[in-house]
Amino acid sequence: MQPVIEIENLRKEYAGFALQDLTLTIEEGTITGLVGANGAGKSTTLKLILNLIRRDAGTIRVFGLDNREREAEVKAQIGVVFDEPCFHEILSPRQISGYMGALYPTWDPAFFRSLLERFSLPRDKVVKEFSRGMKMKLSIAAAMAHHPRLLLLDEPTSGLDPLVRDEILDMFLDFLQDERHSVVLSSHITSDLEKVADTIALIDKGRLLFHEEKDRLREQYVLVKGSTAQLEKLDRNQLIGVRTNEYGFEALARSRRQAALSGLAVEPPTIEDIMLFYTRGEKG
Amino acid sequence: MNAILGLMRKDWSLMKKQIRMVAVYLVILFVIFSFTTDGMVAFVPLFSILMFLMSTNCFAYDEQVNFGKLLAASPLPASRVVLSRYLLSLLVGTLGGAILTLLQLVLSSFREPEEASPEVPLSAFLISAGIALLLVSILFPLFYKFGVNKSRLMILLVCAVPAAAAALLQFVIPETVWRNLAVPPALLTALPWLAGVLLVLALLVSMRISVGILRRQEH
Repeated sequence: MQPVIEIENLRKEYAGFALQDLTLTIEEGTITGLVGANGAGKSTTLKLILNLIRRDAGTIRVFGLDNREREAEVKAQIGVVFDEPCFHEILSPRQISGYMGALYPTWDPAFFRSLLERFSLPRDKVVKEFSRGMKMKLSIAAAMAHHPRLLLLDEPTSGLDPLVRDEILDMFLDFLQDERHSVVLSSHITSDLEKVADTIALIDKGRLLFHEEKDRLREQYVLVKGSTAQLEKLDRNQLIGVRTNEYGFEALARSRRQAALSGLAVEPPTIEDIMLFYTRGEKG
Repeated sequence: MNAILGLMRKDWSLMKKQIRMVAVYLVILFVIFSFTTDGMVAFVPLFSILMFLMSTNCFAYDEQVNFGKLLAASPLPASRVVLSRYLLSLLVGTLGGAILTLLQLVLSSFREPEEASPEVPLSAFLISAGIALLLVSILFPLFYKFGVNKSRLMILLVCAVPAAAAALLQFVIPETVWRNLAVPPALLTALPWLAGVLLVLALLVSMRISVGILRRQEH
Protein backbone atom coordinates (compact mmCIF):
# COMPACT_ATOMS: atom_id res chain seq x y z
CA MET A 1 0.00 0.00 0.00
CA GLN A 2 1.31 3.41 -0.82
CA PRO A 3 0.35 6.61 0.93
CA VAL A 4 -2.49 8.62 -0.56
CA ILE A 5 -2.07 11.57 1.83
CA GLU A 6 1.19 12.56 3.51
CA ILE A 7 1.03 15.44 5.94
CA GLU A 8 4.16 16.65 7.69
CA ASN A 9 4.43 19.23 10.45
CA LEU A 10 1.26 20.96 9.34
CA ARG A 11 0.53 24.18 11.12
CA LYS A 12 -2.34 26.62 10.90
CA GLU A 13 -3.06 29.35 13.40
CA TYR A 14 -6.22 31.27 14.11
CA ALA A 15 -6.99 33.56 17.01
CA GLY A 16 -7.68 31.17 19.86
CA PHE A 17 -6.86 27.95 17.97
CA ALA A 18 -3.85 26.39 16.32
CA LEU A 19 -3.32 23.18 14.39
CA GLN A 20 0.08 22.22 15.69
CA ASP A 21 2.70 20.21 13.82
CA LEU A 22 0.26 17.65 12.52
CA THR A 23 2.00 14.68 10.92
CA LEU A 24 -0.25 12.05 9.42
CA THR A 25 0.05 9.45 6.66
CA ILE A 26 -3.04 7.85 5.17
CA GLU A 27 -2.61 4.68 3.15
CA GLU A 28 -4.32 3.94 -0.13
CA GLY A 29 -7.26 1.56 -0.04
CA THR A 30 -8.39 2.49 3.48
CA ILE A 31 -11.20 4.33 5.20
CA THR A 32 -9.78 6.71 7.77
CA GLY A 33 -11.99 8.28 10.39
CA LEU A 34 -10.97 11.67 11.75
CA VAL A 35 -12.51 11.99 15.19
CA GLY A 36 -12.48 14.72 17.76
CA ALA A 37 -14.67 17.20 19.54
CA ASN A 38 -16.20 20.19 17.78
CA GLY A 39 -13.44 22.68 17.08
CA ALA A 40 -10.67 20.08 17.45
CA GLY A 41 -9.26 20.73 13.97
CA LYS A 42 -10.85 18.00 11.82
CA SER A 43 -12.46 20.34 9.28
CA THR A 44 -9.37 22.55 9.30
CA THR A 45 -7.26 19.54 8.36
CA LEU A 46 -9.59 18.61 5.48
CA LYS A 47 -9.64 22.21 4.23
CA LEU A 48 -5.86 22.36 4.31
CA ILE A 49 -5.65 19.16 2.26
CA LEU A 50 -7.99 20.78 -0.29
CA ASN A 51 -6.06 24.08 -0.13
CA LEU A 52 -9.27 25.91 0.77
CA ILE A 53 -7.25 27.69 3.45
CA ARG A 54 -3.56 28.58 3.42
CA ARG A 55 -1.26 26.66 5.71
CA ASP A 56 1.25 28.50 7.89
CA ALA A 57 3.85 25.71 7.79
CA GLY A 58 4.32 22.10 6.79
CA THR A 59 3.79 20.05 3.66
CA ILE A 60 0.90 18.11 2.23
CA ARG A 61 1.27 15.58 -0.54
CA VAL A 62 -1.72 13.86 -2.11
CA PHE A 63 -1.10 10.96 -4.54
CA GLY A 64 2.58 11.88 -4.17
CA LEU A 65 1.94 15.40 -5.51
CA ASP A 66 2.32 18.67 -3.63
CA ASN A 67 -1.23 19.88 -3.09
CA ARG A 68 -0.29 23.51 -3.87
CA GLU A 69 2.09 23.13 -6.80
CA ARG A 70 -0.03 20.50 -8.54
CA GLU A 71 -3.34 21.76 -7.20
CA ALA A 72 -5.53 21.12 -10.25
CA GLU A 73 -4.19 17.59 -10.77
CA VAL A 74 -4.75 16.73 -7.13
CA LYS A 75 -8.26 18.19 -6.97
CA ALA A 76 -9.32 16.43 -10.17
CA GLN A 77 -8.93 13.14 -8.32
CA ILE A 78 -10.70 14.13 -5.11
CA GLY A 79 -14.42 13.94 -4.47
CA VAL A 80 -15.56 16.28 -1.72
CA VAL A 81 -18.62 16.28 0.51
CA PHE A 82 -19.03 19.20 2.88
CA ASP A 83 -21.15 19.20 6.01
CA GLU A 84 -23.69 21.42 4.23
CA PRO A 85 -24.58 20.74 0.58
CA CYS A 86 -23.46 23.46 -1.82
CA PHE A 87 -26.14 23.02 -4.46
CA HIS A 88 -28.54 25.74 -5.54
CA GLU A 89 -31.98 24.94 -4.20
CA ILE A 90 -33.82 25.99 -7.35
CA LEU A 91 -31.89 23.56 -9.53
CA SER A 92 -32.58 19.86 -10.06
CA PRO A 93 -30.01 17.02 -10.13
CA ARG A 94 -30.30 17.02 -13.93
CA GLN A 95 -29.29 20.69 -14.04
CA ILE A 96 -26.57 20.10 -11.45
CA SER A 97 -25.12 17.35 -13.65
CA GLY A 98 -25.09 19.91 -16.47
CA TYR A 99 -22.57 22.15 -14.72
CA MET A 100 -20.61 19.58 -12.70
CA GLY A 101 -19.07 18.56 -16.01
CA ALA A 102 -17.64 22.08 -16.14
CA LEU A 103 -15.94 21.57 -12.78
CA TYR A 104 -14.52 18.07 -13.35
CA PRO A 105 -13.13 16.92 -16.71
CA THR A 106 -13.86 13.26 -15.85
CA TRP A 107 -17.49 13.89 -14.90
CA ASP A 108 -19.62 10.90 -15.95
CA PRO A 109 -23.29 11.88 -16.40
CA ALA A 110 -24.38 8.25 -16.93
CA PHE A 111 -22.69 7.16 -13.70
CA PHE A 112 -24.28 10.11 -11.89
CA ARG A 113 -27.69 8.99 -13.17
CA SER A 114 -27.06 5.45 -11.94
CA LEU A 115 -26.05 6.78 -8.51
CA LEU A 116 -29.22 8.87 -8.37
CA GLU A 117 -31.24 5.74 -9.14
CA ARG A 118 -29.37 3.75 -6.50
CA PHE A 119 -30.11 6.47 -3.94
CA SER A 120 -33.70 6.79 -5.20
CA LEU A 121 -33.24 10.49 -5.90
CA PRO A 122 -35.55 12.11 -8.47
CA ARG A 123 -33.66 13.71 -11.36
CA ASP A 124 -36.06 16.53 -12.08
CA LYS A 125 -37.15 17.63 -8.63
CA VAL A 126 -35.53 20.83 -7.33
CA VAL A 127 -33.13 20.47 -4.42
CA LYS A 128 -35.36 22.72 -2.26
CA GLU A 129 -37.83 19.84 -2.06
CA PHE A 130 -35.24 17.32 -0.89
CA SER A 131 -34.95 16.19 2.72
CA ARG A 132 -31.62 16.59 4.51
CA GLY A 133 -30.81 12.94 3.89
CA MET A 134 -31.59 13.28 0.20
CA LYS A 135 -29.39 16.37 -0.09
CA MET A 136 -26.49 14.52 1.53
CA LYS A 137 -26.97 11.53 -0.80
CA LEU A 138 -26.99 13.96 -3.73
CA SER A 139 -23.71 15.46 -2.49
CA ILE A 140 -22.17 12.00 -2.26
CA ALA A 141 -23.42 11.04 -5.71
CA ALA A 142 -21.93 14.26 -7.12
CA ALA A 143 -18.64 13.61 -5.32
CA MET A 144 -18.37 10.09 -6.75
CA ALA A 145 -19.59 10.71 -10.28
CA HIS A 146 -16.30 12.04 -11.63
CA HIS A 147 -14.51 8.76 -10.65
CA PRO A 148 -12.23 10.20 -7.96
CA ARG A 149 -9.52 8.16 -6.26
CA LEU A 150 -10.07 9.84 -2.91
CA LEU A 151 -13.23 10.90 -1.11
CA LEU A 152 -12.96 13.59 1.56
CA LEU A 153 -16.09 13.95 3.65
CA ASP A 154 -16.75 16.42 6.43
CA GLU A 155 -19.44 15.13 8.77
CA PRO A 156 -21.37 13.36 5.99
CA THR A 157 -23.78 11.53 8.29
CA SER A 158 -24.45 14.30 10.77
CA GLY A 159 -28.17 14.85 11.38
CA LEU A 160 -29.23 11.81 9.35
CA ASP A 161 -31.42 8.92 10.47
CA PRO A 162 -29.84 5.46 10.97
CA LEU A 163 -31.30 4.05 7.72
CA VAL A 164 -29.82 6.80 5.57
CA ARG A 165 -26.51 6.64 7.45
CA ASP A 166 -26.32 2.91 6.83
CA GLU A 167 -27.02 3.42 3.12
CA ILE A 168 -24.28 6.03 2.88
CA LEU A 169 -21.76 3.90 4.77
CA ASP A 170 -22.48 1.01 2.38
CA MET A 171 -21.61 3.32 -0.51
CA PHE A 172 -18.20 3.96 1.03
CA LEU A 173 -17.54 0.24 1.37
CA ASP A 174 -18.53 -0.25 -2.29
CA PHE A 175 -16.27 2.64 -3.26
CA LEU A 176 -13.37 0.80 -1.66
CA GLN A 177 -13.89 -2.29 -3.82
CA ASP A 178 -11.26 -0.62 -6.00
CA GLU A 179 -8.04 -0.88 -3.98
CA ARG A 180 -6.79 2.38 -5.43
CA HIS A 181 -9.64 4.24 -3.78
CA SER A 182 -9.48 5.78 -0.33
CA VAL A 183 -11.89 7.57 2.00
CA VAL A 184 -11.21 10.10 4.72
CA LEU A 185 -14.20 11.14 6.74
CA SER A 186 -14.45 13.36 9.73
CA SER A 187 -17.22 12.49 12.11
CA HIS A 188 -18.20 12.62 15.72
CA ILE A 189 -20.69 9.80 15.19
CA THR A 190 -18.17 7.20 16.25
CA SER A 191 -20.62 4.31 15.79
CA ASP A 192 -20.44 4.95 12.03
CA LEU A 193 -16.66 4.73 12.14
CA GLU A 194 -16.90 1.50 14.15
CA LYS A 195 -18.75 0.03 11.17
CA VAL A 196 -16.56 1.12 8.28
CA ALA A 197 -13.26 2.69 9.31
CA ASP A 198 -9.96 0.89 8.95
CA THR A 199 -7.97 3.47 10.87
CA ILE A 200 -8.87 6.17 13.36
CA ALA A 201 -7.06 9.47 13.83
CA LEU A 202 -7.97 11.40 16.97
CA ILE A 203 -7.44 15.16 16.89
CA ASP A 204 -7.86 17.22 20.03
CA LYS A 205 -7.22 20.96 20.35
CA GLY A 206 -5.20 21.00 17.16
CA ARG A 207 -2.99 18.05 18.02
CA LEU A 208 -3.00 14.53 16.62
CA LEU A 209 -3.24 12.25 19.66
CA PHE A 210 -3.04 9.01 17.72
CA HIS A 211 -3.55 7.43 14.31
CA GLU A 212 -4.10 3.73 14.69
CA GLU A 213 -5.84 0.75 13.10
CA LYS A 214 -9.33 0.42 14.56
CA ASP A 215 -8.96 -3.27 15.40
CA ARG A 216 -5.60 -2.70 17.06
CA LEU A 217 -7.12 0.07 19.18
CA ARG A 218 -9.68 -2.38 20.50
CA GLU A 219 -7.00 -4.96 21.23
CA GLN A 220 -4.57 -2.48 22.71
CA TYR A 221 -6.92 -0.80 25.13
CA VAL A 222 -9.38 -2.09 27.67
CA LEU A 223 -12.15 -0.41 29.65
CA VAL A 224 -11.81 -1.09 33.34
CA LYS A 225 -14.42 -0.55 36.03
CA GLY A 226 -14.26 -0.95 39.77
CA SER A 227 -14.39 0.65 43.17
CA THR A 228 -12.27 3.59 44.27
CA ALA A 229 -10.25 1.28 46.49
CA GLN A 230 -9.43 -0.98 43.54
CA LEU A 231 -8.23 2.04 41.57
CA GLU A 232 -5.37 2.40 44.05
CA LYS A 233 -4.03 -1.03 43.06
CA LEU A 234 -3.70 -0.13 39.39
CA ASP A 235 -0.49 1.09 37.78
CA ARG A 236 -1.48 4.63 36.89
CA ASN A 237 1.16 4.78 34.16
CA GLN A 238 -0.87 2.20 32.27
CA LEU A 239 -4.02 4.31 32.37
CA ILE A 240 -4.84 6.73 29.55
CA GLY A 241 -7.63 8.38 31.50
CA VAL A 242 -9.78 7.88 34.56
CA ARG A 243 -13.31 8.98 35.43
CA THR A 244 -14.43 8.74 39.03
CA ASN A 245 -17.78 9.14 40.67
CA GLU A 246 -19.27 8.35 44.05
CA TYR A 247 -19.68 4.66 43.11
CA GLY A 248 -16.25 3.97 41.76
CA PHE A 249 -14.21 4.56 38.64
CA GLU A 250 -13.98 3.88 34.94
CA ALA A 251 -10.61 3.90 33.25
CA LEU A 252 -9.05 3.22 29.90
CA ALA A 253 -6.05 0.99 30.38
CA ARG A 254 -3.23 0.38 27.93
CA SER A 255 -2.73 -3.23 28.88
CA ARG A 256 -5.37 -5.92 29.16
CA ARG A 257 -3.09 -8.12 31.18
CA GLN A 258 -2.50 -5.59 33.89
CA ALA A 259 -6.20 -4.96 34.50
CA ALA A 260 -7.06 -8.66 34.48
CA LEU A 261 -4.48 -9.35 37.20
CA SER A 262 -6.24 -6.90 39.44
CA GLY A 263 -9.47 -8.92 39.05
CA LEU A 264 -11.45 -5.97 37.78
CA ALA A 265 -14.35 -5.92 35.36
CA VAL A 266 -12.98 -5.35 31.89
CA GLU A 267 -14.59 -4.90 28.51
CA PRO A 268 -13.45 -3.83 25.05
CA PRO A 269 -13.74 -0.07 24.59
CA THR A 270 -15.63 1.60 21.79
CA ILE A 271 -14.00 4.33 19.73
CA GLU A 272 -16.12 6.79 21.64
CA ASP A 273 -14.73 5.49 24.95
CA ILE A 274 -11.17 5.85 23.66
CA MET A 275 -11.89 9.34 22.37
CA LEU A 276 -13.51 10.47 25.63
CA PHE A 277 -10.81 9.08 27.87
CA TYR A 278 -8.05 10.57 25.78
CA THR A 279 -9.66 13.99 25.74
CA ARG A 280 -11.71 14.26 28.91
CA GLY A 281 -10.54 11.69 31.43
CA GLU A 282 -8.20 12.67 34.23
CA LYS A 283 -4.76 11.58 33.30
CA GLY A 284 -3.58 8.27 34.77
CA MET B 1 -14.40 26.38 -23.30
CA ASN B 2 -16.77 23.60 -22.19
CA ALA B 3 -16.15 24.60 -18.59
CA ILE B 4 -17.05 28.23 -19.29
CA LEU B 5 -20.19 27.23 -21.20
CA GLY B 6 -21.18 24.84 -18.39
CA LEU B 7 -20.95 27.60 -15.78
CA MET B 8 -22.82 30.03 -18.03
CA ARG B 9 -25.57 27.39 -18.43
CA LYS B 10 -25.74 27.10 -14.65
CA ASP B 11 -26.08 30.87 -14.23
CA TRP B 12 -28.65 30.98 -17.01
CA SER B 13 -30.71 28.31 -15.18
CA LEU B 14 -30.53 30.43 -12.04
CA MET B 15 -31.58 33.57 -13.90
CA LYS B 16 -34.41 31.99 -15.91
CA LYS B 17 -37.12 32.67 -13.35
CA GLN B 18 -36.14 36.30 -13.00
CA ILE B 19 -35.78 36.79 -16.72
CA ARG B 20 -39.37 35.58 -17.11
CA MET B 21 -40.53 38.14 -14.54
CA VAL B 22 -38.49 40.89 -16.13
CA ALA B 23 -39.91 39.95 -19.55
CA VAL B 24 -43.45 40.41 -18.21
CA TYR B 25 -42.60 43.86 -16.78
CA LEU B 26 -40.83 44.68 -20.01
CA VAL B 27 -43.89 43.92 -22.12
CA ILE B 28 -46.17 45.98 -19.85
CA LEU B 29 -43.82 48.96 -19.68
CA PHE B 30 -43.04 48.68 -23.39
CA VAL B 31 -46.73 49.01 -24.17
CA ILE B 32 -47.08 52.01 -21.81
CA PHE B 33 -43.95 53.81 -23.01
CA SER B 34 -44.56 53.06 -26.65
CA PHE B 35 -47.24 55.75 -26.79
CA THR B 36 -44.55 58.42 -26.62
CA THR B 37 -41.26 58.59 -28.48
CA ASP B 38 -39.62 60.30 -25.49
CA GLY B 39 -40.74 57.49 -23.24
CA MET B 40 -39.12 54.89 -25.46
CA VAL B 41 -35.88 56.84 -25.65
CA ALA B 42 -35.60 56.65 -21.84
CA PHE B 43 -37.02 53.14 -21.50
CA VAL B 44 -34.66 51.27 -23.82
CA PRO B 45 -31.36 52.43 -22.30
CA LEU B 46 -32.62 51.83 -18.74
CA PHE B 47 -33.66 48.30 -19.49
CA SER B 48 -30.51 47.65 -21.48
CA ILE B 49 -28.49 48.48 -18.36
CA LEU B 50 -30.78 46.20 -16.35
CA MET B 51 -30.12 43.32 -18.75
CA PHE B 52 -26.34 43.72 -18.39
CA LEU B 53 -26.71 43.67 -14.60
CA MET B 54 -29.06 40.64 -14.47
CA SER B 55 -26.15 38.28 -13.87
CA THR B 56 -25.38 40.01 -10.55
CA ASN B 57 -28.23 37.92 -9.10
CA CYS B 58 -26.07 34.84 -9.70
CA PHE B 59 -23.61 36.14 -7.11
CA ALA B 60 -26.40 36.14 -4.55
CA TYR B 61 -27.53 32.63 -5.49
CA ASP B 62 -23.97 31.31 -5.23
CA GLU B 63 -23.44 33.02 -1.89
CA GLN B 64 -26.63 31.54 -0.48
CA VAL B 65 -25.33 27.97 -0.85
CA ASN B 66 -21.61 28.68 -0.45
CA PHE B 67 -21.06 27.52 -4.03
CA GLY B 68 -17.66 29.22 -4.00
CA LYS B 69 -16.42 26.47 -1.67
CA LEU B 70 -17.43 23.77 -4.16
CA LEU B 71 -15.71 25.71 -6.96
CA ALA B 72 -12.56 26.15 -4.86
CA ALA B 73 -12.47 22.40 -4.10
CA SER B 74 -12.67 21.59 -7.83
CA PRO B 75 -9.78 21.68 -10.32
CA LEU B 76 -11.40 24.51 -12.31
CA PRO B 77 -9.11 27.57 -12.48
CA ALA B 78 -10.38 30.86 -11.06
CA SER B 79 -9.85 32.56 -14.42
CA ARG B 80 -12.54 30.41 -16.08
CA VAL B 81 -14.97 30.98 -13.23
CA VAL B 82 -14.56 34.74 -13.59
CA LEU B 83 -14.61 34.75 -17.39
CA SER B 84 -17.88 32.81 -17.49
CA ARG B 85 -19.60 35.41 -15.30
CA TYR B 86 -18.37 38.40 -17.31
CA LEU B 87 -19.21 36.70 -20.60
CA LEU B 88 -22.72 35.94 -19.40
CA SER B 89 -23.26 39.56 -18.45
CA LEU B 90 -22.03 40.63 -21.87
CA LEU B 91 -24.19 38.09 -23.67
CA VAL B 92 -27.43 38.76 -21.78
CA GLY B 93 -26.91 42.51 -21.90
CA THR B 94 -26.09 42.59 -25.60
CA LEU B 95 -28.93 40.26 -26.59
CA GLY B 96 -31.46 41.97 -24.36
CA GLY B 97 -30.41 45.45 -25.40
CA ALA B 98 -30.32 44.49 -29.06
CA ILE B 99 -33.86 43.06 -28.90
CA LEU B 100 -35.16 46.19 -27.18
CA THR B 101 -33.41 48.46 -29.67
CA LEU B 102 -34.84 46.46 -32.56
CA LEU B 103 -38.35 46.70 -31.10
CA GLN B 104 -37.94 50.43 -30.70
CA LEU B 105 -36.83 50.73 -34.32
CA VAL B 106 -39.81 48.70 -35.53
CA LEU B 107 -42.19 50.81 -33.45
CA SER B 108 -40.79 54.12 -34.64
CA SER B 109 -40.87 52.93 -38.26
CA PHE B 110 -44.65 52.45 -37.85
CA ARG B 111 -45.28 55.63 -35.89
CA GLU B 112 -43.02 58.08 -37.71
CA PRO B 113 -41.85 56.26 -40.84
CA GLU B 114 -40.37 59.38 -42.44
CA GLU B 115 -38.26 60.17 -39.36
CA ALA B 116 -37.32 56.57 -38.40
CA SER B 117 -33.57 56.21 -38.25
CA PRO B 118 -31.41 53.61 -36.55
CA GLU B 119 -28.86 56.17 -35.35
CA VAL B 120 -30.62 57.41 -32.22
CA PRO B 121 -31.70 54.05 -30.78
CA LEU B 122 -28.37 52.48 -31.70
CA SER B 123 -26.43 55.32 -30.07
CA ALA B 124 -28.67 55.06 -27.00
CA PHE B 125 -28.01 51.32 -26.83
CA LEU B 126 -24.24 51.73 -27.18
CA ILE B 127 -24.10 54.44 -24.51
CA SER B 128 -26.23 52.38 -22.11
CA ALA B 129 -24.09 49.31 -22.84
CA GLY B 130 -21.01 51.35 -22.05
CA ILE B 131 -22.46 52.58 -18.76
CA ALA B 132 -23.59 49.06 -17.83
CA LEU B 133 -20.20 47.51 -18.61
CA LEU B 134 -18.49 50.21 -16.58
CA LEU B 135 -20.76 49.33 -13.67
CA VAL B 136 -19.97 45.63 -14.20
CA SER B 137 -16.23 46.30 -14.13
CA ILE B 138 -16.63 48.14 -10.80
CA LEU B 139 -19.23 45.90 -9.18
CA PHE B 140 -18.04 42.38 -10.01
CA PRO B 141 -14.72 42.63 -8.11
CA LEU B 142 -16.65 44.10 -5.16
CA PHE B 143 -19.05 41.16 -5.22
CA TYR B 144 -16.18 38.67 -5.34
CA LYS B 145 -14.40 40.40 -2.49
CA PHE B 146 -17.23 41.34 -0.13
CA GLY B 147 -20.24 39.32 -1.30
CA VAL B 148 -23.54 40.77 -2.46
CA ASN B 149 -24.93 41.68 0.96
CA LYS B 150 -21.92 43.67 2.11
CA SER B 151 -21.55 45.27 -1.31
CA ARG B 152 -25.03 46.81 -1.29
CA LEU B 153 -23.88 50.05 0.28
CA MET B 154 -21.00 50.18 -2.16
CA ILE B 155 -23.45 49.67 -5.05
CA LEU B 156 -25.38 52.73 -3.88
CA LEU B 157 -22.18 54.75 -3.70
CA VAL B 158 -21.02 53.58 -7.13
CA CYS B 159 -24.30 54.71 -8.67
CA ALA B 160 -25.11 57.72 -6.49
CA VAL B 161 -21.70 59.41 -6.22
CA PRO B 162 -21.14 59.98 -9.96
CA ALA B 163 -24.75 61.14 -10.35
CA ALA B 164 -24.42 63.52 -7.40
CA ALA B 165 -21.05 64.77 -8.63
CA ALA B 166 -22.49 65.47 -12.08
CA ALA B 167 -25.42 67.36 -10.52
CA LEU B 168 -23.11 69.37 -8.24
CA LEU B 169 -20.83 70.31 -11.13
CA GLN B 170 -23.68 72.27 -12.63
CA PHE B 171 -23.76 74.52 -9.57
CA VAL B 172 -20.02 74.73 -9.04
CA ILE B 173 -19.02 75.50 -12.63
CA PRO B 174 -20.75 78.60 -14.08
CA GLU B 175 -22.97 78.14 -17.11
CA THR B 176 -20.80 80.43 -19.20
CA VAL B 177 -17.91 78.03 -18.84
CA TRP B 178 -20.07 75.17 -20.15
CA ARG B 179 -21.26 77.31 -23.09
CA ASN B 180 -17.75 78.38 -24.04
CA LEU B 181 -16.33 74.88 -23.67
CA ALA B 182 -14.96 74.12 -27.11
CA VAL B 183 -14.26 70.52 -27.73
CA PRO B 184 -12.05 70.01 -30.77
CA PRO B 185 -14.05 68.27 -33.53
CA ALA B 186 -11.35 65.61 -33.89
CA LEU B 187 -11.75 64.73 -30.23
CA LEU B 188 -15.50 64.57 -30.60
CA THR B 189 -15.15 62.11 -33.46
CA ALA B 190 -12.57 60.04 -31.62
CA LEU B 191 -14.49 60.06 -28.33
CA PRO B 192 -16.69 57.00 -28.96
CA TRP B 193 -13.67 54.95 -30.04
CA LEU B 194 -11.62 56.20 -27.10
CA ALA B 195 -14.47 55.35 -24.74
CA GLY B 196 -14.68 51.88 -26.25
CA VAL B 197 -10.96 51.25 -25.76
CA LEU B 198 -11.08 52.54 -22.18
CA LEU B 199 -14.09 50.37 -21.48
CA VAL B 200 -12.34 47.24 -22.79
CA LEU B 201 -9.32 48.11 -20.64
CA ALA B 202 -11.57 48.63 -17.60
CA LEU B 203 -13.17 45.22 -18.16
CA LEU B 204 -9.81 43.49 -18.53
CA VAL B 205 -8.44 45.13 -15.37
CA SER B 206 -11.66 44.27 -13.54
CA MET B 207 -11.39 40.62 -14.60
CA ARG B 208 -7.77 40.48 -13.51
CA ILE B 209 -8.70 41.87 -10.09
CA SER B 210 -11.60 39.41 -9.77
CA VAL B 211 -9.34 36.45 -10.59
CA GLY B 212 -6.81 37.62 -8.00
CA ILE B 213 -9.53 37.96 -5.36
CA LEU B 214 -10.92 34.50 -6.10
CA ARG B 215 -7.48 32.87 -5.98
CA ARG B 216 -6.72 34.35 -2.57
CA GLN B 217 -10.11 33.58 -1.09
CA GLU B 218 -10.29 31.15 1.82
CA HIS B 219 -13.29 29.00 2.69
